[in-house]
Amino acid sequence: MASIPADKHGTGSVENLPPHETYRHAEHFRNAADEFDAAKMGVWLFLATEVLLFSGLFVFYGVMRMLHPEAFIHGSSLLDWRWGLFNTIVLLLSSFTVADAVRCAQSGDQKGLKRNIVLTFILGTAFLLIKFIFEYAPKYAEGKLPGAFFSYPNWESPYEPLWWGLYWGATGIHASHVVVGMGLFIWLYIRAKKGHFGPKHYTAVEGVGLYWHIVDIVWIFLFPMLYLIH
Amino acid sequence: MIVPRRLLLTVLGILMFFTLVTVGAAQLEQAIAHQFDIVIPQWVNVAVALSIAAVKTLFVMAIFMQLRWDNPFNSLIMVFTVFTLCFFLGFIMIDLGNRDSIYPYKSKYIVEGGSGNITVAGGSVPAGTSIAMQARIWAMEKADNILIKEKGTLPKYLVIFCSQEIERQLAAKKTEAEFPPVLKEFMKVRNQAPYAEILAAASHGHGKGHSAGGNTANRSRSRTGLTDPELGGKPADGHGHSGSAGQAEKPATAGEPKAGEHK
Amino acid sequence: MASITDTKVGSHGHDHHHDESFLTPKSTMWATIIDWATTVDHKKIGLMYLVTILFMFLLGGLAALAVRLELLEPTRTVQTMLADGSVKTVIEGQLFTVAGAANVADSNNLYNKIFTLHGLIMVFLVIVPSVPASLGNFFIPLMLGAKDVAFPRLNLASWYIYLIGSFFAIASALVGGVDTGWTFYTPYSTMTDEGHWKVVFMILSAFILGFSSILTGLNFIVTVHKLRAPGMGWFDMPLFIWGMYGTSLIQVLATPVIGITLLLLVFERLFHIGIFDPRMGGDPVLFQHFFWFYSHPVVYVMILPGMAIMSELIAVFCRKKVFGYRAVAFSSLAIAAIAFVVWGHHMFTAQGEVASAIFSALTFLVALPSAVKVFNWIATLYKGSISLKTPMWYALGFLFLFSIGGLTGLFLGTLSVDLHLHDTYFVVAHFHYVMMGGTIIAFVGGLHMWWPKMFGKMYNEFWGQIGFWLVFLGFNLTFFPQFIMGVHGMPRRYASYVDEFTIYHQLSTYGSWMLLAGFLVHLFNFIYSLAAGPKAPPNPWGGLSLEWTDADSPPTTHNFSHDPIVTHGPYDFDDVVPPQTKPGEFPLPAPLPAGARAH
Repeated sequence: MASIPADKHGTGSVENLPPHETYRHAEHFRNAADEFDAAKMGVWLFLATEVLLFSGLFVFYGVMRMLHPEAFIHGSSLLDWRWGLFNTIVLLLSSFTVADAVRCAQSGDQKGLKRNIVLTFILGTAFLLIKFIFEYAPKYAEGKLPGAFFSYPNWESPYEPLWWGLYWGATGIHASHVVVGMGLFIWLYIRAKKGHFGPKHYTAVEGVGLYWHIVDIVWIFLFPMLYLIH
Repeated sequence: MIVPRRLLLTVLGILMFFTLVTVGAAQLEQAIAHQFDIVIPQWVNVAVALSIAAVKTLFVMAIFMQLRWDNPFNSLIMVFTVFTLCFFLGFIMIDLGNRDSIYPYKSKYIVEGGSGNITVAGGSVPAGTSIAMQARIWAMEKADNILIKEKGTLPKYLVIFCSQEIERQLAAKKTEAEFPPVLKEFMKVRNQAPYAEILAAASHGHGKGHSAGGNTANRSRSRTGLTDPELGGKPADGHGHSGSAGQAEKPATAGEPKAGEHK
Repeated sequence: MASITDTKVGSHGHDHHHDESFLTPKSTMWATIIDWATTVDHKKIGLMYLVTILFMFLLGGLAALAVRLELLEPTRTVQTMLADGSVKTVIEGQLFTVAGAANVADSNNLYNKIFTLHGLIMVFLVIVPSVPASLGNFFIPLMLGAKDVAFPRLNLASWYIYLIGSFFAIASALVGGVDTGWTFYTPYSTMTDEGHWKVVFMILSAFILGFSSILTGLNFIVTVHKLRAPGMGWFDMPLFIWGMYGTSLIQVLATPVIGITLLLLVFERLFHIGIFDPRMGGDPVLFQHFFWFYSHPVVYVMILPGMAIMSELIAVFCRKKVFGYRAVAFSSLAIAAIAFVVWGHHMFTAQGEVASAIFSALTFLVALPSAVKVFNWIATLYKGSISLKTPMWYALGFLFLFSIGGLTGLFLGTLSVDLHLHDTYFVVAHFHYVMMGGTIIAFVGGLHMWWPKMFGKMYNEFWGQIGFWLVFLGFNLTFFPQFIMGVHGMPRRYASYVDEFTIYHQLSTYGSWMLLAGFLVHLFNFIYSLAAGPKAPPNPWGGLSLEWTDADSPPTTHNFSHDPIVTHGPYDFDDVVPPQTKPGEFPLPAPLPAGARAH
């Protein structure tokens, strides 16, 4: 059989077949299943590093909440938990659409795959818009800012600049992960349109999906930790 | 393994349910504490929130991320990651929760909320003034600008600030004559619209136990360790704290007197 | 991805072109350069890493020599009242003088910057990537019988990320350098350097290098899991692989923490978020916790590869099965696991008493797997057919130096003793005995053993051994006096000292020159070998792992001309190799029956 370069889809000599049907695994793997397993293991190891990256913020939270509970309680009372809840729902929905996208790719549903990628992208945008318009902007205007930029007069504990440092740091790093994820969905959409994904080859959909789920899981923890303290 | 759509939808439903449970639990906890006038220790809040989040995470990982059908090594990676995180958090908490003996040495360098002497975008914070105190000085200037110079309307957070500031000044035994001009002006207008409504709403929502003096710093950490039953779970009104070694060293509450001094 | 397509052709049809060595240049110089810059071949990437790492080792070494030179004499400030009433100030023994300022403080700052540079380069740019990224990259696929690592493009990306990281480190040094010490402790790292750039560049450098490290580790873990040759079970792997596997686990699990630590440090610097600032309710010791949570496990990222090489050196040059294979293999994993629960022993004088006591107790656990390894190596030596070639001398040197380094570590792990020895030259000597006497010595030994395999040329044995003795004696001369002055109370990181320490410091500085001479001998030996060394046979040492038995010297582009099948263990010298007839001889494994290697 003629060899087809691993990442030049659609140029193969086999006529009338979409690229995902003619996909050939990279030479140094024994078979496509091994390659898929290896890619997935790589993604999981990467996710471990992501969790440990956020672990620093969780330690920041744990230690500072232990040392200055009153700053955290009052700081948290200045957040509107309803927006947090709304955003949680948005992210959970997007997690579902991503899982569904993987299912579509596995079962060869090209239309469903593209629809789910677009839906996820829209939900991600909604998350960011809510974050920026209803959370970041008003807080910025009132001076609820980290550390030295803090200028909100109605504090009840002088350690509140720390709380806002945590709030902006944690949600900011999380939001930057959402932005990266949305870039990945644009890339997935372009490839899905070219027919790169199907039952025989959907590694990228699976990988990006896993990444998106971990971003969701981080938010599952951040939401009660930031918004629901009493 | 192709996960059936029905299963995905079921998991989504479960996740939504638990999200509402975590919000409900927090609300319920607050309501109970308020209704029966009891203090629920903070670890309850943390434990409930984290357990629910952990359950949700298990569902996402097992079904959405397909760990249930995956190579067990991938699950093992996550287990090790969680172990690592626990060690990271646990040992640091053990250390920082047991540092009574060095706190007295550290405390003499502490001005609550930062000692200033830094330049930021909004201006510079002079040495000896905390960032938090500087925030109030700036807010006073801002309110002065809006209310007296521009004859404008104060934004909500400045209305609350001015009202609290009046109480702080009174608590510091200042007479009305000694007030800065903006507060005198504010006293004239505070019973008019729209300020009256804002203040009424604020005192309604914020009323329970939060004294306007901003002296919750009294409830700041006790450095006596993880076993301290009071850790975190201080009553909202801040009374009855058993003075620990660290507590005795704390400087006076930043709230009341200094606000006046700087004006 | 042309190379991958080529591979297919090469392995399916038999094509002579593909039996060429991977070092064969292209038709023109530019084509060769572009070929190397875009290669996904793990061997080329390993060599590119090797060259960059050796260059950084040279830079870090020059900084170390400068530090030692400054310490050749104690700095004395002598003031004399002159007849006209003015005071004459004479500063003696000061090497670094800043132009226009006869000011001790200024030149001491320069000293601070140079030892900081030495530490940063040696830790982040040399020792952490040294063995995994160069020898590991080159030999892990070869030892496993694989054609490449699992993610070849990520592998190349990690090299470029390493280059970007080192660019920032050098840029920071060029715009003035930092004097925070390699540990970036707050408040040094948040309060010094008004203009921000130098410290921020250096932090950025360490942050970026972390990614490179993570990618390498991630790649190796998946490679070991997924690309072992048919017939190779977990316990048929060479022990080098086990060591590298443990190393990779630490790299993946610990490095992200330095990422978030440095990010928070930058936030602290630029926005004063207060997490490490006691005035705002934070805690500078929290930074130390964050930092050492990464940096202690990374100490094992540094030493485990050295131990991994040791197992190979000892087995090959004693022609004997490694004693207690499984014990050595599992001790690598045990070290990797324990690495995460002992970081507090760097902070005995900073953290609370409770945590110090716990960490002190846990620290002794590290001694167990380390001792298991050392005793097993010694047991392997017993009744082995020892050939005292340069790599074997290095293996023996490792045993000697690492034993000293490891045992003095126990002194420092003891809480009460450490309070006396903390931040003295005893600590400096201890970690140099482990890091340099362990990792670098094993690295150079491994380099000598695998040199014929990597380049297809033999090095000169005589000059190799001369180099070894210069390095070994020079090393001991440099660092042993530091134990003594450390116990006597000489603190680390000072540019000047009292006269009583002069003799120790002078010995130490002379030793550093001897070390330089030793490394130069090795360097010229290697260069001469490349230019005019005799051609190396495929298996000059009679080794039994796949890189010796199944690959050419140097290996072909696709590593093996056939798919290797493992038929014997990596150390089955008793079963597969005819006995030595005279000392220093390396009999090759008996040829396998025809058809044993299926195509």
